[in-house]
Amino acid sequence: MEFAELIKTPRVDNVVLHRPFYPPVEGTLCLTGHHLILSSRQDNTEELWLLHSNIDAIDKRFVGPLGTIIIKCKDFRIIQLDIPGMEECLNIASSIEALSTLDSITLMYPFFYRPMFEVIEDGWHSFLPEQEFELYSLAISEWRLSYVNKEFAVCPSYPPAVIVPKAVDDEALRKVATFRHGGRFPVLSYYHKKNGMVIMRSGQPLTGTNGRRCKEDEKLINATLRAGKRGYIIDTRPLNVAQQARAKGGGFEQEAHYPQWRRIHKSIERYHILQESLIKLVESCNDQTQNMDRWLSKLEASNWLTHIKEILTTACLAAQCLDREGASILVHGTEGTDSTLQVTSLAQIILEPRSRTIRGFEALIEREWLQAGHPFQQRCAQSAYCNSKQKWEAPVFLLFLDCVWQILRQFPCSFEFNENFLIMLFEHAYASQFGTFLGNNESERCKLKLQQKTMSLWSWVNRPSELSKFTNPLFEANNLVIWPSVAPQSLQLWEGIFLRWNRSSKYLDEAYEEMVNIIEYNKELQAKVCVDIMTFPPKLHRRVTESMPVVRMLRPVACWMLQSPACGCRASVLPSRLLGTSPRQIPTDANFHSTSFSEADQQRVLITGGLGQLGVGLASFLRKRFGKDNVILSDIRKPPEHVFLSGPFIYSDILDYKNLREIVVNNRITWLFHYSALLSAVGEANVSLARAVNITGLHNVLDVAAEHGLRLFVPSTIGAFGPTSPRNPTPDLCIQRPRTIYGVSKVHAELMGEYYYYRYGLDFRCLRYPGIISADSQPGGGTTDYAVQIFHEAVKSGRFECNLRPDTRLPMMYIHDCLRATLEVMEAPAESLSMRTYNISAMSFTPAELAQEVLKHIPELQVTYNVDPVRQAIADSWPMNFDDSNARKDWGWKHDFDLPELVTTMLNFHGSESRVAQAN
Amino acid sequence: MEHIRTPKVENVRLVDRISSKKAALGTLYLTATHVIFVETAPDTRKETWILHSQIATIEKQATTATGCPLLIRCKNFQLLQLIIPQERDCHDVYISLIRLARPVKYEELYCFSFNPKLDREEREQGWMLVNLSEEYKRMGLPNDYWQLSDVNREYRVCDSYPTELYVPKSATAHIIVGSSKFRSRRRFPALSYYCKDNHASICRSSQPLSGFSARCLEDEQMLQAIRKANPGSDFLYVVDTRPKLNAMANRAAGKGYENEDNYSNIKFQFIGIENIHVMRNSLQKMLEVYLAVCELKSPSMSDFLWGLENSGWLRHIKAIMDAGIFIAKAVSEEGASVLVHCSDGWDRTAQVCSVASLLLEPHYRTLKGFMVLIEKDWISFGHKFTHRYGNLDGDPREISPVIDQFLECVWQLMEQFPCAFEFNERFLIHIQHHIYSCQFGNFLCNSQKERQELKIQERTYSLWAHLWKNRVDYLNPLFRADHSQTRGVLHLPTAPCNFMYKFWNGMYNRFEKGLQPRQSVTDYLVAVKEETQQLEEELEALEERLEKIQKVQLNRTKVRSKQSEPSKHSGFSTSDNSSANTPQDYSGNVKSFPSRSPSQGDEDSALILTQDNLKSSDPDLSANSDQESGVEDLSCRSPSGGECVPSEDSGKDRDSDEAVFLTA
Repeated sequence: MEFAELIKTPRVDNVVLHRPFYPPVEGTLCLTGHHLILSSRQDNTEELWLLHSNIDAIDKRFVGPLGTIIIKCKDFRIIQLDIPGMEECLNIASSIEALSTLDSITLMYPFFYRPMFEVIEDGWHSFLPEQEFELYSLAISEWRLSYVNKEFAVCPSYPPAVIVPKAVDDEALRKVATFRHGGRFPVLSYYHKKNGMVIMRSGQPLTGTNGRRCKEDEKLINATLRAGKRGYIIDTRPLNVAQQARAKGGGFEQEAHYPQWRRIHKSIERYHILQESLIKLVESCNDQTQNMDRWLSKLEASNWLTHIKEILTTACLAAQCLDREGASILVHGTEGTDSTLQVTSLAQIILEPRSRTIRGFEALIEREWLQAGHPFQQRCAQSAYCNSKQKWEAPVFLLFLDCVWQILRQFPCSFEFNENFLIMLFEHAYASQFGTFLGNNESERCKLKLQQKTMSLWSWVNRPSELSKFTNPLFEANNLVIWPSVAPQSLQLWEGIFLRWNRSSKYLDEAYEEMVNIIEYNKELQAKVCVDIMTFPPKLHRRVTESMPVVRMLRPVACWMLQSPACGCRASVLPSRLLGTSPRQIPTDANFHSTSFSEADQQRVLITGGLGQLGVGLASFLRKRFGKDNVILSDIRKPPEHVFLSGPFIYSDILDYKNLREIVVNNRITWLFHYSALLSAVGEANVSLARAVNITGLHNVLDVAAEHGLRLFVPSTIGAFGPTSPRNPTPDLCIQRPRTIYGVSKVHAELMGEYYYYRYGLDFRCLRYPGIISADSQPGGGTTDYAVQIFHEAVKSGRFECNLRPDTRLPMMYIHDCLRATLEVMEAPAESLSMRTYNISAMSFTPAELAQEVLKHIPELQVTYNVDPVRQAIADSWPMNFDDSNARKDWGWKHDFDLPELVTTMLNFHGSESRVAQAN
Repeated sequence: MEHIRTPKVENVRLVDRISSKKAALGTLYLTATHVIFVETAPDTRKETWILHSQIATIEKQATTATGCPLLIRCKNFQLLQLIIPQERDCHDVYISLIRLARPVKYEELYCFSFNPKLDREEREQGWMLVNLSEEYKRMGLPNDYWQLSDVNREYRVCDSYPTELYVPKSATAHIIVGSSKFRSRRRFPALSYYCKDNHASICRSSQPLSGFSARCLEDEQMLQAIRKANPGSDFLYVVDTRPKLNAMANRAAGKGYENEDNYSNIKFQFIGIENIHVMRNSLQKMLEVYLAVCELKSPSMSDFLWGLENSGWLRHIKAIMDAGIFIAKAVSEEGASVLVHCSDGWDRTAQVCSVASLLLEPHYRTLKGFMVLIEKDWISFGHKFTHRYGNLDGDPREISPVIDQFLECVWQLMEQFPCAFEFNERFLIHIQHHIYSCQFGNFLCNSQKERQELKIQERTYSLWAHLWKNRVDYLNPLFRADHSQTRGVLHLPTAPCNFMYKFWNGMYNRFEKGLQPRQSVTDYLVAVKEETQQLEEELEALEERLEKIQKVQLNRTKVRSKQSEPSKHSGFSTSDNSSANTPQDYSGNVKSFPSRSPSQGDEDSALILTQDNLKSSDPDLSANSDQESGVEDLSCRSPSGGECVPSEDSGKDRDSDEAVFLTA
């Protein structure tokens, strides 16, 4: 089937969009296979992109020729579209209707979605059962991983791998499966390390009216008990419901057959009762006309909070039995796919600190909901606005999230994630571009080949830029069991979900931002103090710390913070909260950010091409100056672990202008360092790519910088000169006719930057770097690489083959000088700069001179020459010596490292006790 | 002391209402000012102090096998159930407390014996902290339109008004006196709030004695003068905060409301806020709900929501807010002046004027400003504190939670505008507590005149000075003077958002710690901010030293620093570990479920004191001094520090690299 067949009218102009709290937007409405798009063609107004699968119901109305479509979404939002022309309106309405109720899963958006981000970690493999079992494995000796369900033959709704008692073999499991509803034999849900007790879950036993029993079942669950201990079976149904189930072949565990178990019946509602509760609740939340009294009674009549209370109470009871009574628990209702999972997963939130972290919670959802076979496809097919009475819909998962929110509200510092994380999960369970919540169980997901054909939600969420939006700034690891209050006074309506579209959250959002600011600033200071202390010569460490009691106290904190692997996600860059697709986060008034943050004189720095030879070093240099989180590295590549953990990192493609602009706006960037470029040797090998990156990329950067008033730094190079330039010395202004694409693009950059400066007032600053020598990063394909490689080889093999002639003189600089110069020129007052592009230099030497100096330290070094004609030709066209007198005069440039210091430093760095001794 | 029949009873049990299974054994003491319960448990010796003035009701219940239960309900919503072994002792305690809780003269009140060990000068300075003359000056008065009137010198015109009042310049003494004769209790229109920016003002008065047709030229001139004092608007709003029916009924008694025909250019408006009796009953109902909910074994959500709804409490809060919003909009958006009254103009009028002022004026949303606001609209304008809050034995029909409602309105606003207020919820709760405690002289008596006669300022201490001294406890960490929410008028949505108003758990359940969030965001942020400040100072000092050292230390040492292992993440844990670590009774009515062993359900009654707090000036506020000493289950606490120690990994090397790199 083609989507085009369903789209009767793909496009209508002059459509007006109405939403609460926003002025109406007029624009063009477009229908695509998966999206409804409304865009006003003016600048500065956002586009509305609505997934068809998010549409729960639509109403249409006509007043004269004007048609109105009211779209009610599964996330409870209601929007109104005024469409001129009755025919268009009817066409649009019927198209939407058809597209939002596609009956084939494989037509859903996840099968068509192509991610615009780099997948750092494939979410489909993030939480494999084996890994989860591994987490327990040290503590568990009585349990094993069973693959009895490998072909989904024993239990269609279980995953292939489940954890069961070691004492029970696969054959017995097969027998037990026939005795439990849906083949759902008891499996391990949670292992409580503190006392070795467990929570198991299953379907109801199929005792029927004549009291069938199954010896293997009894043996299986008894295997979880310690000698002389009793366990609890929590049946989520009231006794009478459980008794009635016997008539249909179901039932419950008889005392006589399970003497070591005590059964407790609770009453958690299911199916249409929950669905009706949701419908009533959302209806009353949307009703703006009622008075105070009716609101409370409607809230009461919806029974939503009653369900919350019952679920939470049952989960607390389970946790209490486990933790306080030291008893094992078996939880089931009828199928064991709904209320059972609510109870087991909430009990884990209460008991297990790991499940209160972001990854732990994701693992919990993967394990206790997805793998455990909660039928998401059925339960989330319709939401609060569905009219048709379908049997399988129920907000079971939403109730679970609501319960988590209630606990989060009572323990605001004990969760690594925030409310937005829960809201995001709710949205994706109902409509998503990701395949995670498709299908009803693992078996279906395998058949659909979701892993191959769709993207996992976790692949997207677990990127640092997304995580920062979901990280709770108040989080402090709390290793305790947390006992929430379930008293009626302690439970509240989850406004973030149910009143989200009915109230303005402006003031609450501001408060959240303020909170983040307070905490971020504190962390920044801690980091600064930490760095400062480490900067003290070691001998003085103690003296300093002793004389400063506060610092002594704080230092571990700061160090912990810097070193903790959690840094990656903790490096939450405040405003990136506004990034993203969630409608709540669309920045509606762009002025808001700039005014409310303008008072901060703190620079916010973005480095493009940040993974190159200079970017990482520059970042750590600038981070000392501006604070860790104020310097953002970006690149198109995957960062190495240590870079990723050292501070904010964002994926960016400088050829993607919108992406670049988004990063600049959302992170309130004030300074941009543009390091993306293909260097000389590599550039010659791939001219078209070099042209795209070095020239088109630069144009994007210039436009973004001009548009948002950024101060822009673009490095230039000795390569920007050519054979016709004066070579010894080379002044700032002279003939520049380079013969490499690298050089040409750099001259282009210098000229374009200067042009933008004169034409648009762009604060463009540029330094022509000589060859840069650094110890801790690999050279990136430049002509001056030999001067770095010689040190590597000198220490490693004692032999070095130079691919330039021994008398090739080139200007060179040690990285520390280079970084310092870069920061100094950027900080120089505008009035002190008489030009935009400066030469800087430190030293100038030939390979022979360098070898000579190295030989002083390593006399056995053998240097041979094997000239590479390409590199040699490039080098021969470059300056031998830079005249940097203007830089020295205008903004006080002064280098620290000459050749002897350089050689000493580099060799120390590469020496055995190596990396630290660099400072000697 | 003569009222204390028995000063001490032993073997009394204090019942914990949340986990009713256990009770603390201890000794009960009666003193001249407090009831004190001291637990006998040797290691804790927890103490519970109750001021006599906080006691609302005492109830002796039927004797059981275990003893004679005595139920004490407090005005600050604390509830104590004591079980006294001997019926005779219980009776003595009961009779003594009945008398002690209802003093008949001011001199019996705690503030006359309370001595925070301040010298005279400090006490006088304390009373000067809040100065209304300065407040009027801050508003920009006197000016071309408004002047200070001496017409009420020595309380000649109105004995429930202050002596210093601002009136329109054009209102002569003759007009004022004439108008006062036409107003209930001679409470003539006087200025409450003046908006410098657009000259609009809020004035307040009592109802006119209009009956069915009476007129008063001077009163009409008075309103005219108020209108003319605002050159920006050609009309004046007159807001009668009563329901229309009540106002009409008053006409039969020769009172009533302004007839728009008689007053030129006024717009008359009713806003139906119910009277003090309705409010009293409403609160009563709401408290009964939550008491019932607390006492039930497994309270249901429906009981709670139905009860809350039937009490009507939130509807009344909304009515007061609506009135405040109406007036604030009139002043800020229409630039019109408003005259507000109810019947006598000292209850609803005070509520509404202060809510409107709070919305309009950022200054009142600061700590100091809020004190000023209460001083102005409540204390000086003759809100009848003694009657309303039952400080002395009197007519129970006069009692009504009028200022409680105002404080709740402020809290509801704080929930809507988390960054707009300099103070936090605790500040409101402490003010509420002291309105009833009579520990400070501020809220004594029914008028300025009475306070002067009693020489309150010479004989008692000021609460404001006390709160100001401890202001760090009351600060809202999210408040920033330059924040957009702080500046200007607070705009609430005009659409009737009913879900805006919520049950104030923090006030009405404040002694039920188990029902509160177990971790306080406010406290956490305050701790972070304090640390930030220290860090700033240390950083500055460090950098200075570093500079000096770097000058000296040109030689770079090769010795690699052995970093000391970060030992413990000494962050701020505001998590209330003891209570967080104690499950409540989730078993509900499951009879088969075994009872927990005694050490497990250790839920603290909140009002527990340590010896230290005895010395502090207000022991009764221990609820907020957070003395938790519940039995902790140490076995379940893995050493939190250990987990945070990072292992020797590359990360560490990198950091030391960076550090050395930076010295280079």
